[in-house]
Amino acid sequence: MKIIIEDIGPDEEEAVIIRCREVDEAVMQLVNGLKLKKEKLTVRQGEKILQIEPGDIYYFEAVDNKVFLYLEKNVYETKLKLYELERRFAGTDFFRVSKSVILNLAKVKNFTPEFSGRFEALMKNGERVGISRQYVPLLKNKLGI
Amino acid sequence: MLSKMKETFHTFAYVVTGVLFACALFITVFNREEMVPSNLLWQILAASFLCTLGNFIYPNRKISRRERIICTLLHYLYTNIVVFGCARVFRWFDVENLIMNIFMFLSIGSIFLAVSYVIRRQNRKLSALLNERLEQYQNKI
Repeated sequence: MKIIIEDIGPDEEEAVIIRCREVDEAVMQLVNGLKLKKEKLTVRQGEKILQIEPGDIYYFEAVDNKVFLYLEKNVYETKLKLYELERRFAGTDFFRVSKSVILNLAKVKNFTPEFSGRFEALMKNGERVGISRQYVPLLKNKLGI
Repeated sequence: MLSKMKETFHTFAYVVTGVLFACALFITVFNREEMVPSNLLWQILAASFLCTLGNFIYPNRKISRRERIICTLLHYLYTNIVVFGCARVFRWFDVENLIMNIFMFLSIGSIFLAVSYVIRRQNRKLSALLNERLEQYQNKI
């Protein structure tokens, strides 16, 4: 596959054109990856407003009607609901693994079995996230099993 | 709930296999061929089904090591109650016969361990496959 990168002028609009025989899973992942780069999340930290790259997020968690996003070391609250985030990042590396957690598959180090059909994801920052047994078949599907 | 039921059905299949094996062994060892009633198979299925319901002891959330041990012990205790209860209700053996009681107790322990081992092995296999596919997924692009 050839990769062509063209320099454009400051007034021209940036564009990505994908030329392919069929839109397969790899192409869709590329498209979703590009979308992910574009959509930054706005979070508040006290008085400050921050823009977070979705690719830096390890997982989202809903706790007591509040939704938090977890980065490698920091945790921020977002005003968005978990179902809104799920919809917004549908088809990307973000994947719902329980009623209260959406995790970024790109940040998972490995999976280990837990009790009674549950699994656990060890994140690349050392944190552990539980995967409910009802989401295990969906995860298998997402990973092509 | 559906996945729990599916998982329970799988466990049920393992438990039935184990229980049938133990029954066959029991009948052979204690030479009870002439005592086997025609409805024994239904009794085995009923006992296996009740044993399988023990799966509901485990909560569908992350549990600590201590909770896990407690759940396992409760599950084992529940299984013993079910099997000894069924044995009494269905008159599988003489309740006063110590050797039969010990045999039954050991059978329950063996089946419990065997079923747990098979389920654990399956989960490990699935986990290895998930990790393999995760690696492929992350390296795709």
